Amino acid sequence: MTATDTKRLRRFNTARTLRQSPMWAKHLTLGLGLIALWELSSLFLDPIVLPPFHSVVVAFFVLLFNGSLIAALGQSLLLLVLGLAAALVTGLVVGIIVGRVSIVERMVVPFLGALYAMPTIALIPLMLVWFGFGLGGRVVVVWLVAFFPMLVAVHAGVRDAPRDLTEVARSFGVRREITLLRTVILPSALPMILNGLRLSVGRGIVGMVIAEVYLRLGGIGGLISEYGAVFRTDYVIAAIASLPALGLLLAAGVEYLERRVRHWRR
Amino acid sequence: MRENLSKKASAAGQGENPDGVDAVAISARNIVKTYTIGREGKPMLVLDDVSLDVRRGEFLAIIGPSGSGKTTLLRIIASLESADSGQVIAQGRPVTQPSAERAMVFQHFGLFPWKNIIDNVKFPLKIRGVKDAEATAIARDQLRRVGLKPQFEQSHPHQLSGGMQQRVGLARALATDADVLLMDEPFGALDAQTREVLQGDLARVCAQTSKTVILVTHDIDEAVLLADRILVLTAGPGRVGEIVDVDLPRPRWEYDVRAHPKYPEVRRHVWDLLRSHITEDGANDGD
Repeated sequence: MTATDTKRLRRFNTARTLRQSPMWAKHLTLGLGLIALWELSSLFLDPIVLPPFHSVVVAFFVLLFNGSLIAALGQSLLLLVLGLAAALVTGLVVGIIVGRVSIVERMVVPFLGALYAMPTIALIPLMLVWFGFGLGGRVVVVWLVAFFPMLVAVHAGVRDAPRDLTEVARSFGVRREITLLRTVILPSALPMILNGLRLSVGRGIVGMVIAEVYLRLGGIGGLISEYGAVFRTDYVIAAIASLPALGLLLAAGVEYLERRVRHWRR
Repeated sequence: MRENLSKKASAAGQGENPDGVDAVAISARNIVKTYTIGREGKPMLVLDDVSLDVRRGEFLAIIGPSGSGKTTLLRIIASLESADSGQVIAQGRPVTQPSAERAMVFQHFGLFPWKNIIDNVKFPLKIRGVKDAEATAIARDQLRRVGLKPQFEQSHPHQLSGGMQQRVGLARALATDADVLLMDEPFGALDAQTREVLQGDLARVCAQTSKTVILVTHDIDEAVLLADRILVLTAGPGRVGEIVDVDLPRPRWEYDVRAHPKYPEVRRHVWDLLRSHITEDGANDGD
């Protein structure tokens, strides 16, 4: 056995160790590897283009301890929750009407497709003119991006409510549409509605940052553009890093709701 | 008493009723129904002038070849569909909308998957505004009546076998306290052995509760086993072919009905009627 053979064998064994390691160790390895690569590349690049990882960590803790990150998160969360709540309510109301009234459905469905495909960012200047720079205008932007996934999900869920079950309800004396909605249509559409909510949350976060960057400086988006303007990319990245955390938090909330309704599904 | 009723049975649709209005639980008068398939398809006659009388406490089976519109007829009686012309009369009044007074048992059980068993049975009661405690008590009674063990009350439908799900469907129909049960091939989705057990249980439950039952089926044995009379529909369009009296002693769950000397005779008669109406190109059943 030659020396190169032994070397190859040892490398092979390293790969096998990684393959047999638990999942968290794989994730950790990848994470550490990327951080090392980042730290290494920043040695060769202008810190404005790519600040080293450690200075981003420092920036993160500075933002955390001087209170600006907490304040920004608070503002952003308020904006997000208001916008999502508005999207949920309007999506439910419009989705139910479109899904249950066939004349309305036939009238609006082509328009829905067009609106759903339209990039919402294009509407920001209009929103600015219509609703101003205040909290109202920003909520409208979040609502706008979160509304369509919600509407599409509610519409599909309500439209596809199993006809045999609505018939069961009718045969046992359910007459009013509102009772039918409450007893059959909404419960059967609930999993799909929650799916829509999950999509809405993801898009809502995008809408939130857009609103904060373009409409008025505030929240996480405000921090990002504030530090971007003075080329403090380490602070920019530190602020951006809090967004996935926000997304995960809200996704966990939706997932909790989904788990609660999933018990009856196989 | 059920014996007497079935013996006095006369062919339906003759207008005159020797027993008087009181003895008739539900009747259909000159039902006509056409379906149009597609936007420009030509209308297809499904039911052509069908009339029938069902006596109080009677078990009537409707049997017919594919395309005879037997399920459509039941759905019209339940008011889940409307007839082009003709009337359904229950308790002397024309029927215009579905009601828990005519409780339906569905082929595919029709249980709400998101509700547990007891809540499924309570559903018609809650709709009617019955208080929760009372509804629970009624639902428990009916579940026990159809032979479902109390430990399944909190289960969800998908955790139960098909036979058990249909027991729940039956319990729900019984919980309405309706006088009339409408059953649309209730055992069609079950395996042969389960079907036989449930047929026996249904016969027992119906006799105990003296319900009026209309059962749609494509199974001749099931019809002979359960029914006082069998209405044989002709194939597309459905017309009343003949109404056959099933003159077999009751209660039928106490002996092997198939071993009774009269059984083959009744069965062959129904089969001969059916076979004469079955066409190879029989259209779909509408269910």
